Amino acid sequence: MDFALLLEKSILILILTAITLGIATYLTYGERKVAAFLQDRIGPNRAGIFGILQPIADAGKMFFKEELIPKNAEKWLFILGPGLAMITACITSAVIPWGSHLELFGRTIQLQVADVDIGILYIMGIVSVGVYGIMIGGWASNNKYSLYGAIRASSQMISYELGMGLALIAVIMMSGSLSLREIVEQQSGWGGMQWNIIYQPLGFIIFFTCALAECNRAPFDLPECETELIGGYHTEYSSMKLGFYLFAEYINMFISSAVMTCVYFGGYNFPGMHLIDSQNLLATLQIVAIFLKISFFIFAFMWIRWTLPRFRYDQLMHLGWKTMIPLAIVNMLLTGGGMLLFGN
Amino acid sequence: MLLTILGLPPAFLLLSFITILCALYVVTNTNPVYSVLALILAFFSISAHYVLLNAQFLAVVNLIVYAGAIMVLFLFVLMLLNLNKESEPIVKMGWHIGAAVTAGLLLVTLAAALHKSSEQIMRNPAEDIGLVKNLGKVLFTDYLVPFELSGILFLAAMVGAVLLGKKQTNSKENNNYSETSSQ
Amino acid sequence: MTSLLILFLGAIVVLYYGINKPEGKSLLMTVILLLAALSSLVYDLLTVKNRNVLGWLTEYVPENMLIWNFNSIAFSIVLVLAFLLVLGLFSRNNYIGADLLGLMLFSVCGGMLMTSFSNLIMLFLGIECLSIPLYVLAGSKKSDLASNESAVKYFLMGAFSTAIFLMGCAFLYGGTGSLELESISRATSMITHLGIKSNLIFSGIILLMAGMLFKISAFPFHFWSPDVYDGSPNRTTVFMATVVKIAAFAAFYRLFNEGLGDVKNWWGVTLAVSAGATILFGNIAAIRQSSFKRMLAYSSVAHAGYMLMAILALPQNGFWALLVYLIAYTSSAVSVFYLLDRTSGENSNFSFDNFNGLGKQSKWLSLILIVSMFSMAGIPMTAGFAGKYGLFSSIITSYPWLLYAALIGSAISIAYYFRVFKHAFFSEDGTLVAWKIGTMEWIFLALSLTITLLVGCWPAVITLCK
Repeated sequence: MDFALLLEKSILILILTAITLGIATYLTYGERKVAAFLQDRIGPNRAGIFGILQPIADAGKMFFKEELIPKNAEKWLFILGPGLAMITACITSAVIPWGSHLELFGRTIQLQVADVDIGILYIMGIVSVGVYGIMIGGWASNNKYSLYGAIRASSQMISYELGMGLALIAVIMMSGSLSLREIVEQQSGWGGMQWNIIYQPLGFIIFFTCALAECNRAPFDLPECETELIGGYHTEYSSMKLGFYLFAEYINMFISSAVMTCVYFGGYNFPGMHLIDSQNLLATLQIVAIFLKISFFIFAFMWIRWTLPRFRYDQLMHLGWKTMIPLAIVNMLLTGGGMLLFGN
Repeated sequence: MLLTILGLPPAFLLLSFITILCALYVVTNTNPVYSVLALILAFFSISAHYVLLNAQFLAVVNLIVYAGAIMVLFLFVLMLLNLNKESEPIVKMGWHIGAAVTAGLLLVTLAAALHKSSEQIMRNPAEDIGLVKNLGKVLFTDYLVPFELSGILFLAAMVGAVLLGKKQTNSKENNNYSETSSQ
Repeated sequence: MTSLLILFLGAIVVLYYGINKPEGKSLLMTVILLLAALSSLVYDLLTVKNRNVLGWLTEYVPENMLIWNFNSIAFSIVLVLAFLLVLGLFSRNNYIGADLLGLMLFSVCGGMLMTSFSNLIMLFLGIECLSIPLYVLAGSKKSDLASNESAVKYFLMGAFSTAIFLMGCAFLYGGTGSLELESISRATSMITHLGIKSNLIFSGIILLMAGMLFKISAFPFHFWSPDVYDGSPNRTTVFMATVVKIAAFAAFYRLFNEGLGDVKNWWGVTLAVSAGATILFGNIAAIRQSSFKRMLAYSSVAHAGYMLMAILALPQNGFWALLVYLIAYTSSAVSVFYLLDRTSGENSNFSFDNFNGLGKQSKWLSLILIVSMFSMAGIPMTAGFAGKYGLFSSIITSYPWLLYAALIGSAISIAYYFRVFKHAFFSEDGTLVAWKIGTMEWIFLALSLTITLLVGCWPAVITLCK
């Protein structure tokens, strides 16, 4: 492995981490603004113009608050929990292609940290491991509400992972590849508009619902549902450890929006992209395109949160096992049938 | 012996070291939750071994299935049971010694067998079998029959789990018994 | 192979059909399925020489996965027949739902895979397909703690033995570069001809053997079986004692006698020692039991020891001896377990006293008890004698000392098999409540009695189909 490649990847990872954290920070602001918009309020407007500095103030508060570790908690696991949640949230972004490639300093720089040929499986693997942060934190708090929250979270995530995976299988069948870059490249036809959503509307709905549940977002935010469980798995947490959990949730939201974009909405493809000659300009516009799409999905996540009431737990399980999974299987069969009938 | 070990690739050595350390921690620790976490770490390093062998598909599937699903259920049960040092059953020392001796003998035998026959180990006939494409091809051609049959196996396991999980069977069993015997 | 498909698909149909239907119908369906599978198997057996029994499936089922030859078809027939007997005798007054039937069918399918495998992967799948439903069946009496215990014990032991078995497979793969039985056999015999002793293959064989010994509950891996047999519901126990034993021995025979037969000098003595120890241990432990069911469990350990001799014998001798012995053991065990089930009524006390006064109740049942016990002990004119004769004569030249162990064991076994006669015929305080025996049960009891006597008087009847 040559040094330049190492440097290039390191810079990419650094930028990506910074962007991810920055976006997560500003998503808290965005969430409050969107909530305010939907409820016909103004929202945060004191720190800076339009309250733009609010998240920085919040982060500062988080950092300087007193660290509290309950006396009966398992200390190391209590600390490990939020860390794990954060790590698993961050490392998913490694396989997402943010644009085709840049040509700088006589080198071709891929705008993707790692183009592994099992990208989707990698994401599924990380998602399936993502539950540990919440479980460990909830259990280590030694508090019944935390434990309930942790157990709810893990059973919810296991249940919805299945539907998610089955929905993805239909896409994989069509693309014949597990590499996210390849899947995105295959959607570049018809002037950059041949997106998978056209072939997989049902699959997308299933995936979107499951993604909501995987991120523990409303209407599936039962792990932290405050009316029943105080704060769920993070009841006992304060200061930056709480911050990590909240951050992880927003990062998950960001990443699952990115995955959805890549798999169903053409990733960095945009209409008219074939007209642009300069590779660097194209790559920049592609990055803009993918981030616009991601922003739309994040807005959709928030929109749903402030519109729909929370499910009951049995309804959640019912939806996951008896609706999503059968639907996903039907979708898979339909896709297979369609591929047989119409060929590739 | 030492030289052969040092001649191995450093990544392999490091991973093996981590794996064995984690595995030892699993069996020596008395807190089951810590054991499970160490086991998860062991699975991760085993996955890394698969990557070294160029079997990426197996690596990720190992993560999804073992670290992501099975161990979550383990942790789930352990958390609900809330086992700790006090609730661990007291096992007689004799059993510990017996188990250690038996396992140690097995280890020595296997190590001796492997040490002597390191030259005889057959090369894997297909080098890139672990890649998704090759694996899929083999799975759906040469190994189609076992692949399909494992579907039946899972169905059987699923039916069994439902059967054990159902609540009502027992009263039904009794009712049915009395019904048929009264006829 | 057609029969396997019939059973697999049939099991699924039974499950779906039985979701909301009364259990009588699904039982009938299962019996019809079994009869269909049986007739297909018999047809295969009669035509196996002239045609490829895979028929239209040939292109889908490669030779390196399953081989249906005469041996495997014969074992499969015995397997299905045993299951039919179990169903016929153990389903009348007990609730047996479609789910249990489906699981049993899956288990039988797994057993058929084990009789016909030609690849270690198929053997593994067969073992799992056989065992996983059994773990559930062992625990199917959910209110009974003993049943729960036996399920957990069986599950843990089964998982453990499977792990050992798989490790053996891995070693063998490392040593020979293949999982196919034929290539393994070729590689091992080549290595012996060259005079090399491959430690890798050797440890693989030993580990495989340990895994298989676990499954058939032979010494030193027998300790789980009495508890599991004792705790499981009677139907499951008899299923384990007959169907599972048949499948496991068919697989053991194919793997060791046919597959690894060329390197018998590597594993022969180990297996012979295990067989001798199993016979002696099983018989001695059986004497001391006060529970009839536990006695039967230990006696089944002992029987496994006898049957291990067939693995050590020369190929064709071993096959016929094993087949006769399996038929003999199955037909007598099914009736004995039936009597045990019925005499104990609803409670789970299986002591010898339950048989008090059986002789006064019914002379036909007494006859069945006597013949079955004679057969298990190996008294002449019964199938057990024919089986033992075949087994003993097959190893007399190669392992004479094993023969002595087996003879001693058989002598000991008479003591505890005949102990039940004291209770049945010479006991004054008969507490036995008569039970109604349905036509179906009479038919199956008569069938097993006929088999026991017919094979006992004229063992050559088995070889007629050749």
